Amino acid sequence: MLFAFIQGPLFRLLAIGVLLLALQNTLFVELRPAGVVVQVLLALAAAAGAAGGADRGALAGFVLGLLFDLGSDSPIGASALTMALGGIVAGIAWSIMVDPPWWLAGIFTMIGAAAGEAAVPLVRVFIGESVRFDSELSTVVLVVAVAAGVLSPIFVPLARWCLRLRRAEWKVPVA
Amino acid sequence: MGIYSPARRRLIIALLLTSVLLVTLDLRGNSILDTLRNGFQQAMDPLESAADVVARPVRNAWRGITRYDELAEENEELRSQVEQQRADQISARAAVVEFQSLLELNNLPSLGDIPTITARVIGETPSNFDEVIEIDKGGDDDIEVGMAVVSEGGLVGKITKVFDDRSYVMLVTDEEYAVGAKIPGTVSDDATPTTPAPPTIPNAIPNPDLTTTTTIPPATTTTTVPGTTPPGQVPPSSTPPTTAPPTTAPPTTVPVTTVPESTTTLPPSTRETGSLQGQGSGRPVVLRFLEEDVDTGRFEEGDPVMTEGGEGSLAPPDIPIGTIARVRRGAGSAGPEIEVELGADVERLSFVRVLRFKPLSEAEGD
Repeated sequence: MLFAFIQGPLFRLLAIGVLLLALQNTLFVELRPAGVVVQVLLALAAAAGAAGGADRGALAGFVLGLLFDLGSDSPIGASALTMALGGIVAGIAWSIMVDPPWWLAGIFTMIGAAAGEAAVPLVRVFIGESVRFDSELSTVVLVVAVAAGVLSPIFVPLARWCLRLRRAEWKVPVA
Repeated sequence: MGIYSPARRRLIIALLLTSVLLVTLDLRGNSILDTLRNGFQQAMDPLESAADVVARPVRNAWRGITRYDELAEENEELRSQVEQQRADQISARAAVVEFQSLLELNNLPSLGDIPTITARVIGETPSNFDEVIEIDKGGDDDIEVGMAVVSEGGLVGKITKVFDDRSYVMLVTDEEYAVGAKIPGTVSDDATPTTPAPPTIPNAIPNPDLTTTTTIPPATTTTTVPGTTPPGQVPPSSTPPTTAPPTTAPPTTVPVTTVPESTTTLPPSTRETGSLQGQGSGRPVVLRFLEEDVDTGRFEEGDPVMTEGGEGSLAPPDIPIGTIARVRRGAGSAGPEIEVELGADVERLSFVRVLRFKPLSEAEGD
């Protein structure tokens, strides 16, 4: 059972997620294009959606979001929810075209990351926190989305490896 | 989502609902989740240390690229500031000593009486929607949720979450942060002509310094008695000159004690209190719910802003917060909105001090 877990997608996702979280907390909190923190875990969740569909994107987003919440001050489950939404949106975009070229997968990743980041203030409002909806929010969403698009050539194959997606599965989603 | 089977759709819904459930549990306070978070962060410690070492060259290169001009300018500005502040520091130190002595004389508590814990900043939030830093001291060092955190420049924030060996500090710039603040000793220069006369106290105590000796010459003279005019003011025209009666006596020296009729104008010893709230990253904190009226004077840029304290406040009184950067006077009755430039540079904190202060309302409950 342990061997199956280690060989399974969840273990790979957790391992990569923990590594990315360490980089998020040390490197990406400092590299702030336009003053915005690039969300690498969200980018990977969206890439998982763009690579494997909405359900896999949701699963990856949930796991990575939980890691993010555990490693930060945000309420546990809040980022799991937003990153799962990001993965789902990227996966829905993916469903319009199976086996998209790398650049289209990048666009799907961007859309998913934008949706996930835009959902953060909504969730915060939902849990009773005050959030300002202004032009700065659009800057944040834009930068996070573009960064996810830039990272997608690396993250989409990485997500395929994490989720153990094989070539045949990319083309036709198994019902 | 037509291409997905019901099982996959159920998985998606289950994940979303689980997330909502976890949020609810965490917000209501759940010891299992807290323990899980604590354990996870301790497990992440060595990994983050390793990542920090690996990421340092990249981070330094990024800083070099993006902040070179800014740092060069700042360096120049700081050099001139240091020169200026050396002189200020000497006089400020004297004033602080005097202030502390006065507080001691009157048995009043001061900030110096509150024990502090120095902590190192070991991280900051990876989120774009929070203004939170992480420090390396926690429950093992008797840190509790709500304690105020300061740096050399002034108020930094408050403790929001405590683990055994670390804590989270919500910065004053966070939109969720609010604290009572005051603008002490507001005095207006231009308020005097349009306002009723400020309270005055006749200086009735004979002042030996003002005792003068007037030599009355033998001839008939007219002597105007000085001392009735405050320094710097034109003598009132209605004061008639005192005319000494004609005399033929030899010259004598008569000591005359002058009781000055001058009045001392005291500055209004008022303070204005309001609520200080963060506005998010890159935005100034704002002080609201103040009343600016003729009695308290008008707020000016550069006026100091300090914590108000009080029974319910988590922060003790008189912690410097910053200075007024801008006053926005609206047409409504809400009073002016004041942008405050923080004394502490919350973007670049390395060390902070946690004040082990408990408000009266909590201390009584112990």
